[in-house]
Amino acid sequence: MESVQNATEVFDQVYLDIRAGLLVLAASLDRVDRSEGAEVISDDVRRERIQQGLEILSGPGLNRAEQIQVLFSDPYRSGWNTADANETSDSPGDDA
Amino acid sequence: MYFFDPHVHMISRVTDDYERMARMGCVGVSEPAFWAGFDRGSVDGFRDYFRQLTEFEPTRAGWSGVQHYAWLCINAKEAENVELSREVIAMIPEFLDKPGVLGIGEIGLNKNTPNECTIFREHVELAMRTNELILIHTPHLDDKYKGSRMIIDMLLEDHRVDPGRVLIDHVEEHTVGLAREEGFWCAMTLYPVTKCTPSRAADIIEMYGDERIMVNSAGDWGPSNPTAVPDFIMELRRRGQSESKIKKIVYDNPIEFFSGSERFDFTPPDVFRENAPTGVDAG
Ligand SMILES: [Zn+2]
Repeated sequence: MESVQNATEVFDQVYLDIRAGLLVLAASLDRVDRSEGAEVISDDVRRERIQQGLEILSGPGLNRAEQIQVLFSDPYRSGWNTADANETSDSPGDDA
Repeated sequence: MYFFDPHVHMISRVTDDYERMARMGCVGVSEPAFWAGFDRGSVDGFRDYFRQLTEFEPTRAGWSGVQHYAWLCINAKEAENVELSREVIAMIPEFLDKPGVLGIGEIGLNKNTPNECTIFREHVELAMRTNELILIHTPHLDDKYKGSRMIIDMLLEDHRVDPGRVLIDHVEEHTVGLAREEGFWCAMTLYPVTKCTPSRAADIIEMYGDERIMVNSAGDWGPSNPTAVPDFIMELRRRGQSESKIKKIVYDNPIEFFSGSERFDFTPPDVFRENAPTGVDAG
């Protein structure tokens, strides 16, 4: 199923959604930063991931959504289910 | 437009939801066995659950002119109890000749643990032995990518598995390609916050095409929306897609996949409504 709209039509439809989404992001980050103990959050790995996500958003590409999904995904190790993999792992398939 | 919701836990919803879904064009639902919000204590608990799925739910759905189908299994959360899981798997065949049972599901992984893998493989073994379709739950959030890869690895271990008879559910941008590369059917779940939105599902269809793919609400006892499929229909209409292309995803594709089960006895809506039973008072 190909898109039947041109870029201008699509952009007209999503412009206000994108604007609103940016405001949600901005206000949420402001809320964290103005709260007591905000400096602790700068060491939180989740905050680092959010920062990486923002960098993906500001970059070029046709698969930003997929890149952000991968950013927020546990690592996977191929061959986890083969005979020579460690069958006793608590977490099969981990890229550890 | 007529549509199917191919994954919705109607047992958790009220009769008014069937009514609202029917008013929006729903003609059929398929209901996978899932977690009840607590771990059940015995195989008899599951036996009663399967009776409800295969006896009372089809009746209740029929009051609104909706045809109801079911999938049976012990879900991945409760699969941590391997002993109980094995008792449930041994009991499932009691229900495999009931009308409207489409196969084994929703099996899969939740936290990607060794016990979940063991019980997943044993469900697949049951499905192969009894020639049943399979419906697969993939984990949410950070676990999804790894869990989906592991599920596909385990399915490919078994050379009897025909990907055309397996539906991988809850796919998103980073997992839809994995499922489709290997020839599996897949479905997107329109669910608040943790899964896909109607517009992202429409984006995925535009990027990956409309073959072997469908959408569902996965409506259940949590915050969810059993009329999410009509929201998806509206999204595609807003984008100027033709009615026939939309119908392929929300009606034709589920029927094509479900037809792989000999117990998928579907009566087109016009005929079904003429013979629809009337409701009773629950008291
Ligand atoms: Zn489900």
